[in-house]
Amino acid sequence: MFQTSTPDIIEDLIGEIYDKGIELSNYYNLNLEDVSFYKTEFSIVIKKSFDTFSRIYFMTHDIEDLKQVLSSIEGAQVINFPTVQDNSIINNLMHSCGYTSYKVYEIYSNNFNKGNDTFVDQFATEKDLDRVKFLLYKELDVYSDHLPNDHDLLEMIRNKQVLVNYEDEKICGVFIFSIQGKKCYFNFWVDTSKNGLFLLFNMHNYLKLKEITYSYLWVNTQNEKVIKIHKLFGCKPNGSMDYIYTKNINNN
Amino acid sequence: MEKEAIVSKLTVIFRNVFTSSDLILNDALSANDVDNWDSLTHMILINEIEVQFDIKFKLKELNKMKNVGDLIEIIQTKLM
Repeated sequence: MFQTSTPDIIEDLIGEIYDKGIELSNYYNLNLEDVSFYKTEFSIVIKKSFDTFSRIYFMTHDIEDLKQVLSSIEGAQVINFPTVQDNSIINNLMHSCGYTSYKVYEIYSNNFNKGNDTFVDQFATEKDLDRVKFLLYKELDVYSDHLPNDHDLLEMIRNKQVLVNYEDEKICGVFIFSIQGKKCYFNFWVDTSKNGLFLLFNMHNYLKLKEITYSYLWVNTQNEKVIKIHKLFGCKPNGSMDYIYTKNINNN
Repeated sequence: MEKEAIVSKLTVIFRNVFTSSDLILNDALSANDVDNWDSLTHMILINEIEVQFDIKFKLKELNKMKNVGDLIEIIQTKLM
């Protein structure tokens, strides 16, 4: 059913659907290397495989047509649908295709930097790769958190995007971020330490050092503790939601 | 349409979409420079531009668009 091709050819096929007019899509600038796809006259569905599941992306001109395709896909799957609008159409479609609502994330943004001048230069180094990866995969959710693979994580460490925290000389916290011009995206934050919010404060101190005043992140809407902490730092929800659906994964 | 007129019309659209009344456009301006310019607001922006200018972007044009300068260039070619 699914087939592979070069990114250029897949992009052309996506373009064919785009030109007909989009009824529904969760496709946005996806890296088309190593993906497989299934195309009908009115829809294209793209599958990106990971160790234990696949992420599904789609673009359609005809929701009924898309429904046929999505219903027939086998194996463990995750679908993200980011939107600022009402989610009833996607919700109905997902449930009629056998998917289950999994989690909802929301963007919180902050244009008020609470950092001070006491940044502690504590970045992860290459030798920390395994420990950093262990903490991320132990504490976060592989289905909803878009965790990095070894290659991407190593690149982030080399780029000094990974701040860490120590307890008994062992890394107990990780904060991964991406500076995008004058903005900063918070990718991941894990802290198993008993020393409060040192890592988060240190992140904000780093932003002050770099004169970055705008930061943003996706937060699980059920994670009240983390939301409360970010709000204390000045974060506010901006109304962009990511509705996450799964099919055939262990948690269902 | 002259570049100046396009920029003027775009400025109104950008200010509305990003709710920033003092936003000033220049060719180098990109998502990295504007608060709240993420993938979702980008799609809203593109949709609004298509409606206001009565044009339709190709997907490849959107993928190649890196900053406001690229955007203006594409709009100019479409309005020729």
